[in-house]
Amino acid sequence: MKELVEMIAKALVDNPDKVQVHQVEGEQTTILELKVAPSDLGKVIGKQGRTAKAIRTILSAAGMRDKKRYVLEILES
Amino acid sequence: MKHEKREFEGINMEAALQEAEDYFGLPREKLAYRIVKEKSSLFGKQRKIVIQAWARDETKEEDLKAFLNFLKEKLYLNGEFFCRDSRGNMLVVEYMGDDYYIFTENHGELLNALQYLLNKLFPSIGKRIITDTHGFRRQREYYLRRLARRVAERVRETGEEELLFPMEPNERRIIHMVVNSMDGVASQSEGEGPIKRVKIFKLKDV
Repeated sequence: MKELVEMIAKALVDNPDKVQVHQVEGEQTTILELKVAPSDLGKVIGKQGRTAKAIRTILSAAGMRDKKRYVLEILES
Repeated sequence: MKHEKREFEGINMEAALQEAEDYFGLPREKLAYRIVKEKSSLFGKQRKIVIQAWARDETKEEDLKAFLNFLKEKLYLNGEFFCRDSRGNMLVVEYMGDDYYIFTENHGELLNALQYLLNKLFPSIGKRIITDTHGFRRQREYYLRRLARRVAERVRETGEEELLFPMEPNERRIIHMVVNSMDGVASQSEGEGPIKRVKIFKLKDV
């Protein structure tokens, strides 16, 4: 799922080379840490968090398929 | 030169598109456009339409298809995504497969999320992207129209206002249209953010 988040984030931001995704595996949840340049934070979050919410919706759909829970965390790099 | 955007005008859409075709030397299937201005003078005699047109970037549509294939793999989907042009400069991306319910659950939550994201990711296609699955959009519109009518009739009878469930902007538009066409009731969106709720209430007798 790391690649999917990376692909989406890189297409959204102005500095794709600053995009990093770390996948932290837990017992039931998998945390996806998305790091982008500070100036790109707004791009991945979107107005009223709509972009971030759309990415989370896609992740939860994927999670239902492979019986996992994906959590997206957005950080500054 | 290849990605130049330019304005064209004509007395109607046909004439404006003709101008654009001549300028770029391309048939209209290879052009993307948006309406800049649409003017009709008093009595609607003199009309003018201004469009902005550019040569369509087909590599971007290939990118979109590659992204959809990648998504298909990640969501373990059995079916296929089909893309087709639609009226009003729209590109319809429709998923066909026996596991389509994944897109329609929670009032089409995934379908709407994907539509929002695709428009963000591929603005360079130059068309509004609409996502659909097995005709869901049309069924949903039919359902929303019936819902609006039913609730509005009840509100008119009881006089008690009712609040509908949270909806996307295009869904709220359908509700407002139906309620506005009815006498004695009105509707209003309430709440913060893009997913607001519509309130239907009875108008006071004058």
